[in-house]
Amino acid sequence: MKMKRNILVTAALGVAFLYSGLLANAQDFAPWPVPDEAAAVENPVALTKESLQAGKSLFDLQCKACHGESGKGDGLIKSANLTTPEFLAQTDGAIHYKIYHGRGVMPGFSTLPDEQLWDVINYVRSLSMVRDSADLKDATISLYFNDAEGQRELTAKVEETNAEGEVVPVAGMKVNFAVQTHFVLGQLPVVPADHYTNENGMVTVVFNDTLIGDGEGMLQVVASIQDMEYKPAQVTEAVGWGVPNPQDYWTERRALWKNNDYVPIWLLISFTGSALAIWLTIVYVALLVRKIKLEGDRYENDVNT
Amino acid sequence: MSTPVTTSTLPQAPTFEQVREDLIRPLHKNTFANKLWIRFLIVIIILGAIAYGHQLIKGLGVTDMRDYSAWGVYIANFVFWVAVSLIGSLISSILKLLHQNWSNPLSRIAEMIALGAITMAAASIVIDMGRPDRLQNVVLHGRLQSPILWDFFVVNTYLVISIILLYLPLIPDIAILRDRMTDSPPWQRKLYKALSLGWHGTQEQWRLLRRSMIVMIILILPVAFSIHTVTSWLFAVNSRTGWHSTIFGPYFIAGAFVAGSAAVIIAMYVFRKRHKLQQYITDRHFNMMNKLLVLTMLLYLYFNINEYLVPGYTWQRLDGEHLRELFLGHQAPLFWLTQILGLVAPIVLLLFRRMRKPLPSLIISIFVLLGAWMKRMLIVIPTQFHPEFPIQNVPKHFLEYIPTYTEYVISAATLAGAMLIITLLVRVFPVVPIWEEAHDRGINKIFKAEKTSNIHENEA
Repeated sequence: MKMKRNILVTAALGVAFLYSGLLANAQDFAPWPVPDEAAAVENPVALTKESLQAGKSLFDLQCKACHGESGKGDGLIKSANLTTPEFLAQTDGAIHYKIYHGRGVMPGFSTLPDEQLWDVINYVRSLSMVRDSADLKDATISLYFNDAEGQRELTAKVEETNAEGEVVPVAGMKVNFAVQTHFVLGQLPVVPADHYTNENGMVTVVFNDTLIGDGEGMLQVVASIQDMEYKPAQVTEAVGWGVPNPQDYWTERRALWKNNDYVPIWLLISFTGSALAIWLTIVYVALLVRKIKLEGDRYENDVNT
Repeated sequence: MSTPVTTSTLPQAPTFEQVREDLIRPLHKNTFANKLWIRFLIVIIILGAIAYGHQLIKGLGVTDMRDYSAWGVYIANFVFWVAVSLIGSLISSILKLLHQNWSNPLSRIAEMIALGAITMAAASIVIDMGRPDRLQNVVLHGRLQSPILWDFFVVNTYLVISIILLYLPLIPDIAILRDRMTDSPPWQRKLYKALSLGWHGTQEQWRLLRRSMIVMIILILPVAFSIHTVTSWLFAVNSRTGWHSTIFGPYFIAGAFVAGSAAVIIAMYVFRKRHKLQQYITDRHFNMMNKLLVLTMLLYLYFNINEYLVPGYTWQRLDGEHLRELFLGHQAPLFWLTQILGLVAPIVLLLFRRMRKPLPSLIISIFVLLGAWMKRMLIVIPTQFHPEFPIQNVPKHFLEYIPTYTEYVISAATLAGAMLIITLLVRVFPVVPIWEEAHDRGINKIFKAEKTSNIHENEA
């Protein structure tokens, strides 16, 4: 018993040591002093849903590559973790100063409208707010294609079930429209601006019909929501609105560089054919050897009788 | 196999009993020197096993294989062992099909070397794997398009064929041992009894044996050629300077016959001395084997000239870089030493009859075999430092490959492993085929069961 506890304590200490080492590693940026007057500036943009959504759009565009989706500094290059207590202890003004001026590989964003910087600060702070997915509401999203007046439009409808059990529309929800790309998780946004649902829970956008689809022009259109109050939801529908791709579909042909499901027929036949021929010959010889043994047994029987 | 050779090289014509006793005499006693030799080999293998354990636990980082040279001495060893193993097919198949009966007494030596070598070739591949516990994935998830899978198949097939081709001509000899080696320990007598398959030399048994031998002798040819061609394709199908060559298949096969012939000459010398077989492995055999070696070396030289002259003529881009390194740069001393001492000088020396005598040819063959191994290193390693897409941000020492002690110890253990297999085989089986020797001398007495087989025919 005692030994077991000792092992546990040692393991815990070991883990703690490792963890502290990792933390130390993640924090090894030189201090970044901020002038007092800059740190004292207050955030003029209120923490609203709109601000967070605008902040997220900008974060995804400008910050995510390095700081990572979660802001933990786990992007493509070594960057600051934006969710640590040390980071969050700063005033909004201090963070604004750093984003505005930049330092080293962190670029300054002085050319952006000030309001957008404050939106990003609101969003970055929201990253470390504890969000229990159980607290998030369920919403469903559906997607419709309208091709009536010569103009192709996408309509998404977002709904939720209220306390009374009725299905009601969700208004003011930002909807992202994209098409599925060849890569498994790849999505290409097809409507650049932000669009929000109206009081009927509907949002309609004009579809860019110059997109290249598959051989038949089929596209997989995705409408999704990602919100502070709702669980993420998405819907994927196929539509033949793309430009048919004249490209030869090599992904569906047999080739030497493909996986086993696409073995060239000539190779399949020649390899398995020769392998079979060789091994059948070996089996034939093994049978001959067995006959030698049988013949030996018979001879010994004859001699003995 | 059929026509008897002249016995003019022999002082007097021995009887069948004399031949038989001469050839099985070495099996009667396990000399002290032999015991010591086996223990020595086992010690090296144990050291290799320890080094391998170290490699398994620490990973391939204990080797000097890095981003550039992802293949090192283990793959060179693999190619070397595959090459040596091909001699079994040259002597037991090609020469037999060409009715070159002089080589009959050497066929078993060649087959034993082939078995030892192909076993170590298979082992070398596993040694080169960082996760040998995932070997089964080569079969379970292998791509039929990959030469690695072909290689896996053909190495294992050749291993099986080598065992069969060694075993078939042994059956009548094992029957002799079963009847004559009655003073040997029980395990050995049991082994002879089991492996002799109740051989009594009946007509039917001879017929079956002949047929299976002919089938195997023919079958081994395409398999032997494919094993070394596929081994060369492991390199040649890569778009890499120094590897991407259309003549790699025949180039490797010619090189294989050189290495194997040299190995056979070394083994001939050793067994002739140790087993006192001067009457059976004669100067004539050395003379002929050395002529064969010269023939294969000339062929190999021809392929070498093709392999280096054509890219050397343009001397462009990566080819130029690679060849400059090989001819004039870091690799030059090793390259020229290998090519001159291991190829050109032996060809010139062996043109003289005196050099084809046992002792000089032993020394020459050792150089040829060493050169063959060095050549594999020179084929496998330097080219990897001239990739089409240079690797970025690697430490300076990644740009050269110097095998570590671990790699050398493990490599030495594979050499010891091959020699141990051969040593153990000649410990229990005669190194010169008794019945073939007797048959070639026209004194075969093993067809003793004529009468009984007649009985069978009458029954039928």
